Amino acid sequence: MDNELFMDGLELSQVLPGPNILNLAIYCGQRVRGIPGAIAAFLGASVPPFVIVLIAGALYFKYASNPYVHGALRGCAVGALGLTVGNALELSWDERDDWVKILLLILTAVAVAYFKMPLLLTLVMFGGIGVAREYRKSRKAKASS
Amino acid sequence: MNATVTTLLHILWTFSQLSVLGFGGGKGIIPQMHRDAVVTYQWITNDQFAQFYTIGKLVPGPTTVFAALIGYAAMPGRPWLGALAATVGMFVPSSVIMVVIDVFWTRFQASPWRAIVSHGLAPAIVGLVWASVWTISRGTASGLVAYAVTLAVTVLMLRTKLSAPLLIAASGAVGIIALR
Repeated sequence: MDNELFMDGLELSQVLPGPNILNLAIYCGQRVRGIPGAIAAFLGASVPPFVIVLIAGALYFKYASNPYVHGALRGCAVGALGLTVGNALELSWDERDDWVKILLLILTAVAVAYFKMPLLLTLVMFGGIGVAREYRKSRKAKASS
Repeated sequence: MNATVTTLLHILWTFSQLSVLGFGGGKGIIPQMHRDAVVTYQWITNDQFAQFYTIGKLVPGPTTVFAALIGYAAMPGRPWLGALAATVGMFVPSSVIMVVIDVFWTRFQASPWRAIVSHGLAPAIVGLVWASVWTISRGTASGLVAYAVTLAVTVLMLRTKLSAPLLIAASGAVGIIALR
């Protein structure tokens, strides 16, 4: 596999649903060995995290009621919340060049958090508006070139 | 149909839907996952959801692997089966889509649709990430210490190169002292 093929797979992994790492692993497996390669890559990328999270889960259910573990978990959760806020800020910053995108972003957040809009409807509606705008933009770019 | 099979099917169906809708690496599915697992089926509590999400962030690999923990908790009689069903539901459908689309991908290679879809969906995904912040915060500690730690982690994440697991571990240390 060359660099170009890899970057192409990375892009595809990001466009399609599912974790990027898992999608990229599957892409590589498929390019190298076809469907069996894709299956092997799927197992290789998903089984180890699954086993690790299960061990963590078994410990969680055994010790979560211990006051020290409970405190640690509450602390960790607050930290994870901070990471998510940071992630949201970073991603929002990427959209700053276009006020309509910022508006879409805010409307989506309010619709989901406050009005409990289901995920499918959210993607169809707000995702749809975004995709339609990008489509129009690309048509205009093509017409003017 | 007995209760075990019913729960198993609910788990598979719930996570399969999330899997197919997991655009943007699955960042946007957290609010819906919370609604399914905490509100609709009441498999876990708000606090557990926040803590499972945290474990997902802490372990190597995709964050959404914490679906396994929800499945684990949903089937107290057969936790391993529940965990497996949730993980299969979470990862298999999106992976099948990946394999199928990849076969046709070379044909789309020159197509502008790739950029149109990923750029077009981005604002909605980012909005969903903000909604996730709200969702997670329903199950995290409140009070001055908690807010200070959240703010500190946010700033450190954006301004330094400290790793995510390190920041979470440090928050845990503060928690042992101040959030028991």
